[in-house]
Amino acid sequence: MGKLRTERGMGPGAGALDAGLVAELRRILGPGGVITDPAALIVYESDGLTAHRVTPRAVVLPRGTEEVAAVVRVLAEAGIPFVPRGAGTGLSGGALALEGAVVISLTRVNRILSLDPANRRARVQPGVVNAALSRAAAPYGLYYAPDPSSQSACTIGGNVAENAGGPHCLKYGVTANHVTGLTVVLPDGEVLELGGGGGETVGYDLVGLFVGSEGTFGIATEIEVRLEPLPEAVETLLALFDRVDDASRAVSAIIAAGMLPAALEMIDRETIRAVEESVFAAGIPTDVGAALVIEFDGPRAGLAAEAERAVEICRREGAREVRRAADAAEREKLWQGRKKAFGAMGRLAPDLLVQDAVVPRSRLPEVLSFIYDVAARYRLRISNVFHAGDGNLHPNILFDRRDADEVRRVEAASREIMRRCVEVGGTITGEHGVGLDKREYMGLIFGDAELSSMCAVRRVFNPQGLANPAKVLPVRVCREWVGPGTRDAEEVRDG
Amino acid sequence: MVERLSAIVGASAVVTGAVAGRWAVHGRVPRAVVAPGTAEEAAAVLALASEAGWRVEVAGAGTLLDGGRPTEGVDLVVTTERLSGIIAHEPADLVASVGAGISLGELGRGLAPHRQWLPLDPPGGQVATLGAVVSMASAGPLRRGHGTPRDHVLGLQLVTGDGRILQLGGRVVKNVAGYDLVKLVIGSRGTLGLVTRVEVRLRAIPEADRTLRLVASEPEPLLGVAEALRAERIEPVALELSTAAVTGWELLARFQGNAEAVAHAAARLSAIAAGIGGVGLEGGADGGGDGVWERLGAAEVAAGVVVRLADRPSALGHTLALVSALPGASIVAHVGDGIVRTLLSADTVAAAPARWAAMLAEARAALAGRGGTLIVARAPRALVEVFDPWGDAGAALGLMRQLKQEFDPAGVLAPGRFVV
Repeated sequence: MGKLRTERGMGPGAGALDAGLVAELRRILGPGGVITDPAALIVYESDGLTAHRVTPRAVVLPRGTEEVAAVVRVLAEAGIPFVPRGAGTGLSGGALALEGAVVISLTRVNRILSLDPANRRARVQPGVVNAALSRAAAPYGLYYAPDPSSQSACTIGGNVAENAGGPHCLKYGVTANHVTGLTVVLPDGEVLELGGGGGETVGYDLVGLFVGSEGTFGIATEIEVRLEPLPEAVETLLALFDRVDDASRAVSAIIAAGMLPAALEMIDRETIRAVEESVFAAGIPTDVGAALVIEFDGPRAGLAAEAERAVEICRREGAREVRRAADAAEREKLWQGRKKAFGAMGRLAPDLLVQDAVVPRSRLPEVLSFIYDVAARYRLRISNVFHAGDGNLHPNILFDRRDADEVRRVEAASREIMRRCVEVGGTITGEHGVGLDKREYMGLIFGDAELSSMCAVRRVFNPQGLANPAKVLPVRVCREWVGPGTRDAEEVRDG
Repeated sequence: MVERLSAIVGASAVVTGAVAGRWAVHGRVPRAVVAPGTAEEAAAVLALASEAGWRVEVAGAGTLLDGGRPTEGVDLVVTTERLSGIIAHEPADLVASVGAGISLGELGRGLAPHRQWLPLDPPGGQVATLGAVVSMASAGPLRRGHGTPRDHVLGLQLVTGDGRILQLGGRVVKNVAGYDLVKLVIGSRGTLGLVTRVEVRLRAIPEADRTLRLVASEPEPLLGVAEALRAERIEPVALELSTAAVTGWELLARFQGNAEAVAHAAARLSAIAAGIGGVGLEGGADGGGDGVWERLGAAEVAAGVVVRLADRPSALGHTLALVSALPGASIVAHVGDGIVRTLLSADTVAAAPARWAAMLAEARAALAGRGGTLIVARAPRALVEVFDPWGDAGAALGLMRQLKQEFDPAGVLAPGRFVV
């Protein structure tokens, strides 16, 4: 996690956009397509990581590929960096307008262009909300499988930028496994088609390379995705355990039994307490150590038996109770504790730090113990919500950024947790992306050779460094950004 | 040359002369073949090659060297033969770290005692190495239910053309740290470096695994069966339509999962087949289906010419019609992926390359108009000298060339064989 900082105003070397440039942008986008009023810009100063705030120089709202390309061209000619933004729900500071960037909002580029049920494909614009795509596909017996927790707000474009996951990616894969084609506006305004159509890839898998590039290679203005058939049947369980270790062992046992649940999520006592104290109360006893949400889906034949095996395993590992959904309404109820976790945190403290490390599943119990130990040592409230099936942890640290001492403890604690996750063979981010927030940790998992290669790859797409600057890669590794107008201030230098 | 290579890998790991003929590429025998024992040795070899300007082909078992544009000559083949073995396997994590030189067959045998497997079945996979399969992005019938190499590879170790060793990706199943260079390497056909080590995600061997074989004298009834399966949301993990190993047509359907689900799917398929005229059910068999999948894979491996026509699955009928215009062709089609492999004899094609080039060009144009592709996966030199095996890489070719420049600045890896 980068140093937390709260700042208003724009970065050095920025300042209001040249009036002529603003006029040119208004000419392309219409008067309502360019926001320069400081009061209106505040809405765009952060993403889901509210501890990092930077007011953008302007926000533009194009309505399609041509307008995105035209805007990017104008900005490129003026040497002004840009940051693409979807719904702003990201959790790595990826949409932060550093380096005096202009925010290009994709929320108006939001049509579903085509839906092809026979081939299980859809082509959408980046501003389409994730859940809206699944709703549109449902009448055809299809849905879009990657389901981040923010899916009722987050956009497909944002999902592509971060290679988003979600609880069901354990069985179905992440965004990169579902994107088959892209129309991309490169940072110089050129429009390029990657993949797509019915044929095989000729040359390199540039679609695979682009997904997860966090807006630093350009802007995807059309996205072709693979849709999955809606499963015939779903079985959902909520298993309550007195001890976290018992729940962890149940997770391992389910996987070891050769089962592949569609989702396997864990929430701990701190999380459950937060949920039960809130309006989202789901009826989970607050003295449990942990709860597991386990879901199976697929053909109806044999599914009930699969669920029963999982129930049996949970009981064998010490579950005090296992609830099983009998219908869709009950299924919603069993998920509630998990789905409302973040919302419930929001009322407990002004600020929330969400980590996103991944560890090998077999190391989950020891890492969880370590996290609780860290919480005690630093006197912090840390709750854990996570995708237990794939080892993707979300330790949530509650704090108040106005309390400088607490901020220091939060930074130190999150650093320790991150280091331990990497030490056991994990990685620093499973689905939220590096953004600004985790740049300083890239050196924990990559050496200079790898980072240098990544810089070179980025330079191929983004030679002037104008696309989402100062994200993903530590500044010290990519020399091209050292120069006038580049911030090398205390706040952005990394370790 | 031989002295400099021997100094790095030891004289016994360098092969020249007639013995190197086994590693010929389009009939061109390399001047030397070297088998490094570590990634560091491989790095030193490639650094040397870059400095000397040698033309290099990377290889595993050498079974996938043909294919691509013709080579004018190969100075050095670098093989992963000695970079083999399962380095680490964490059954609890369903992840394995594997030397790239291991064959898929050997890998499967090493994982089976833990009731785990890597669900990849490219033709020739028993012998082909994991590194080669990853570099070629090869996949087989199981792609339908389990995906292709990009869905299984979590990380890899790459030795670049100029001898850098890069650890790309990671060892955990979810990872978005940095750019996904793993996906760039997969399918790059050895033009970005030598893959020396692969981290793969595994699956549990399913409780039940059953293959059913349907036969007919025409493809239409079998396509009808496939459509009926789709309508009932019955999803086989593999579904192949073929003329390659039989007279007439066969449809192979493979189901995996728990015993009840597989039994139900098999019963439904039998009922559907019985209800469609002209379809015979050859009975079902457990596991790999009594060798039917091996037989299919073997036919594809044995063919001297393999042409891949790919279009949307809904256009499969149209794609099959294009193939039917090619005389003497056998067919193996991934139903549901829309990919048709056309198998031809090398002699037939080599006897009239210009005519074949014209026919294939026509088929490629017809496909391109619909967004499809035609790729010659393997063919004698005579054909690929007059017909580009790859087709149009599109406007992104410039970006691809720049990317190659980063990983192979001296341009020594597979020069002129791929689109870049």
